[in-house]
Amino acid sequence: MSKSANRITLIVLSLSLSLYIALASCVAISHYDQYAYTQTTSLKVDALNVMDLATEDYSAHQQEVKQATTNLDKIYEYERNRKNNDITIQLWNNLKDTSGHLFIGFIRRWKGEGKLRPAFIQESKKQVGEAFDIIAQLESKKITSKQAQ
Amino acid sequence: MATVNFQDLFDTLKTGVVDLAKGTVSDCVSEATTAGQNALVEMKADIEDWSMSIATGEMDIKDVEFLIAGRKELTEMHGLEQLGIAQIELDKFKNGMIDLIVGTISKVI
Repeated sequence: MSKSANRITLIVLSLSLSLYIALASCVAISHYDQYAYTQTTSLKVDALNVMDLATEDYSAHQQEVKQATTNLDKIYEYERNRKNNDITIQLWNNLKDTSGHLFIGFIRRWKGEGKLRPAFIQESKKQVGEAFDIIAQLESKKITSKQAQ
Repeated sequence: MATVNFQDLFDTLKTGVVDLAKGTVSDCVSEATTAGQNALVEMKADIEDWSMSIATGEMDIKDVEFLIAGRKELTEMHGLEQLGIAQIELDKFKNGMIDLIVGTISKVI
């Protein structure tokens, strides 16, 4: 190989290595996490089941509500401690928002009114289900750590 | 049971969007009207169902108010989801670049 060819190769190599380091160190969003996905889909089922109970008095189902909200807090804490996970955390914030109108907002209303109408519960369940699906589907689209290597 | 002419109700809502835009965002009435009417069209099926439920007494106005607010929060969540998907695509591009660089270097050397 000639001297100039060696030099070009060296320059290309240096530039490539710089780009490699820059790209490798800059991850846009967290990688796919099987545990987070499984917990999200599992909690969706629990949350929708609890919502079905809202035709009955809240005071009779405090235990079931507590179980579901505790599980929500657990997955939230898990998500909060994952790197580059801001978007997923914001999504969970919507579901958890006590002044909102998704899962925790529904629980607040149920607690406040004692019981809720079946037609309303069914419509609200569609929205809460969709909210959980958004979180699960975003997770499922993420690249795996193996793909990132 | 009260009867609901849904098309009349929907037309009234669309006119209401124009009036609301004129009364609140005078600098961009046209854009606000379009955005508001598009949002109405997206919610048309829900609004129809919920209106019927009010008419039949299955839901009350507070229920529908809650559901409309829930729909708004879901719209925000879909926006965040799209942002997340864009970031995932960026990660895939970066991986592709890394593979390209590594592959090219190994061929050259």
